[in-house]
Amino acid sequence: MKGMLTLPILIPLIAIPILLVIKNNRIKRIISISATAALVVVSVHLLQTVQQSGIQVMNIGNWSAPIGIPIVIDLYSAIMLIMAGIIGFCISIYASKNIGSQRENHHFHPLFHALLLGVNGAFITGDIFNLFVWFEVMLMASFCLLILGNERAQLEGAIKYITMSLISSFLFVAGIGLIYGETGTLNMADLARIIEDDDAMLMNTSAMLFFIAFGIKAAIFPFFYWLPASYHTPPAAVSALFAGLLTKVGVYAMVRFFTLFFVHNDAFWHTLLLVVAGATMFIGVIMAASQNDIRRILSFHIISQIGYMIMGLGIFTPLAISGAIYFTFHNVMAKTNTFLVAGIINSLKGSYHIKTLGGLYKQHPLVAFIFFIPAMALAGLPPLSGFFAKFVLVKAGLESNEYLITFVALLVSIITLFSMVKIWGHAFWKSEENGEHDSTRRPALTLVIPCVLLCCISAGIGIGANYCLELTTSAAEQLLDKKHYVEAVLKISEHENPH
Amino acid sequence: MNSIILKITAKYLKPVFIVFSIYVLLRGHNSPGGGFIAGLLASSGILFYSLTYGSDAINQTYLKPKSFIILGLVGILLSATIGFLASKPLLTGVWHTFKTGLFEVKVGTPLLFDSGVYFLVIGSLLTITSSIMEEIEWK
Repeated sequence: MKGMLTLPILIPLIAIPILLVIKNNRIKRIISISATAALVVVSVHLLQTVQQSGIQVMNIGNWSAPIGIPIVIDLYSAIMLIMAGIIGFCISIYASKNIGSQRENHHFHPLFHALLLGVNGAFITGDIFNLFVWFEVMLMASFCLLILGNERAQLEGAIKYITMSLISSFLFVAGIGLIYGETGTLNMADLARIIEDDDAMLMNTSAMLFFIAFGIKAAIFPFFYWLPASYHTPPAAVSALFAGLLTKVGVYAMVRFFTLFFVHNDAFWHTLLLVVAGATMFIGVIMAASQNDIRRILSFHIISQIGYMIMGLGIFTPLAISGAIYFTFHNVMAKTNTFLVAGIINSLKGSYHIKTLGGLYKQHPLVAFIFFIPAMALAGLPPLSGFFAKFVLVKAGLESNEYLITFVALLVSIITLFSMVKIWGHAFWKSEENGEHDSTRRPALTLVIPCVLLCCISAGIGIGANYCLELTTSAAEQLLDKKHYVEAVLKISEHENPH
Repeated sequence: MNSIILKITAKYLKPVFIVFSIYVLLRGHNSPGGGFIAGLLASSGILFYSLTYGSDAINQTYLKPKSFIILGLVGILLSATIGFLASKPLLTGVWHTFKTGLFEVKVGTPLLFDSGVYFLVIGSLLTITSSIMEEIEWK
C-alpha cells in the first residue's frame, strides 16, 4: 500500500526508458498519454487516501526520517500532484499534434516525462536537499525542452533562462548549506521542530537566500524578467507546459518553507511578502497591457498572477492560504489553456501577433469559445474559477485589515480583464484586414480536446467552488498546524524502525 | 589528429581507463568511488580515444550512447523497485550471499544502482560530446 506513494515519481521514471527505446512516434504518443492518465488516477487516489487517513509518509530505502529521505504527501502535495497530472495529460494529447515529428524523433517525449518526474518529486519530498535535486531534474529537462528544435529565438531565450536558473540554484544550495550548518538537519519536519525552539534570528539569512532562490523560480517582482524573454520561444505545447507548471513549483516550495519552518519574524517576512506580491501583480499586468504578441501578453500575465498566490501566503490566515492554493490550481488550468489556444490560433493563422490576426470569432466559433472560458476565468468573472479564487483572497485581505494589497488585487483584476479583452477584440472580433480567409481549415481534434477538457475543469471548479474551497481550507489548516506534519514524519519513522 | 604518439597512446589507454573505472565502481560501496566517478573515468577513456580518432569512434565503442542511457535507467529502476518484492519501501537494499567454495560474494541492489549510474553517466557524457563534435565536424 505504501508503494502507492512512490508512483508519482515511478510512473514517469518507467516511461522514460520505454520512450527512449521505441522508434515509432505513434506508439510513443500512446504511451505518453497513458502514462500521464495513470498519473492523474494515482494522484486522485492519493488525495482520497490523505483525506481519509491523514498525512502519508514513506521512508525511502527504509532509513528513518531525520537521516533518510522521507516522501511526505499531505493535502497540499496531493492537490499539486493532481494539478501536475491533469496538465501532463492534456499536454501529452496536445503535443501529439503540435510538436512535430522532428522534435519527437529528438526525444521530446522522454524529456517531457523527465520534467513531470522533477515536478512530482518536488511536490512529494520531505527533505530540502532532495527538493533541490528534484528542482535540478526539472530544470535539466526544461533546458532541453526549451532548446529542442535549435531555432535562433529559442537559443536566445534559453541563455537568459539558464543563467537565471543557475543563479537561483546557487542561492538555493547556499541556503541549504547555511541551514545545515545552523541546525544539523535537512529534514523538513525536523527543521520545523528545531527552529521552533532555537534562536530564530539566525535563520533569517538562509530564509532570505531561499526566498530569492524560489523567487527567481516563481518569477516574482524583482526577478521576473527571464520569464517573458524565454517562454514565448518554444512550440505552444512546451510554452504551455512551462507556463502551467514551472513557476508554480517555485510557489509551492515558498509556501511549504514559509508555513513549515520559516514562521518567525512574521512582522518582517509577511510585510515583505505582501510588498513583493503587490509589485509583482501590478508590474506584471501593466507590462502585459503594452504587448502585442499573444504569448508575450500571456507570459506577463503569469507573473501578475503569481502575485496573488504570494499575497495569500503574505496574509497568512487559513482563509488566505486556502485562497492561494485554490488560486494556484485555477490559474494553472486557465493559463495552460490560454497558451494552448494561442497555439491553435497560430496553427490556423500562422501568427501570434494580435495586430495581424482577426475574424477568428466568425470563422472558428469553437476556438473563440475555448479561449473565452479561460480568459474570463483569469479575469475573474463568475461563475468561473477565477472569481471565487479572487473573492476568497480579497475576503481574507479585508478580514485581516490588509486594505492596500486588497485594493491592488482588485485593480489588477480590472487591468487583467482589459488585456484579455484586448486579445479578444483584436484576434477574435476585429474583421480580418486582408479579407481573404479559408474557413475550410478546421483546428485538429487532438488540439481542441485538451482545451475543452481544461475549460470544463475551469468551469467545474468554479461551479463546485464550495467543495473545492472546503478541500483547500483543510489543506491550509494542515499547512498552518505544522504539528501534524512533524508528528507524521518523525513518529512513523520511529514506529517502523524500533531499534 | 595526426600524431602517431597520441594515436597509439589513446589506443592503449582506453582499456586501462575502463578497467580502472570498473575497479572504482566495485570498491565504491565502502570506500571512495562509486558509479558516478567510475562513469566519468570510463567516459574520459572513451573520449580521449575519440578525440584522437574522430567523432565516429564514439558510436563505434561497445554500445551507442543512447543504449548506455537506457541500460543505466533500467538498472536504476530495477534496483529501486526490487525492494517492493520484499514489501519494503522504494530503494531499500536487498542483499544475497553466494557461496562458491573459498569465496563468499555478497550481491545487492546498491551495486545494481551504482552500475545504473555508471552507465547513465557514460551515456550522457558521450551524447553531449558526440553532438558537439558532430557540430564542429571533428574528424
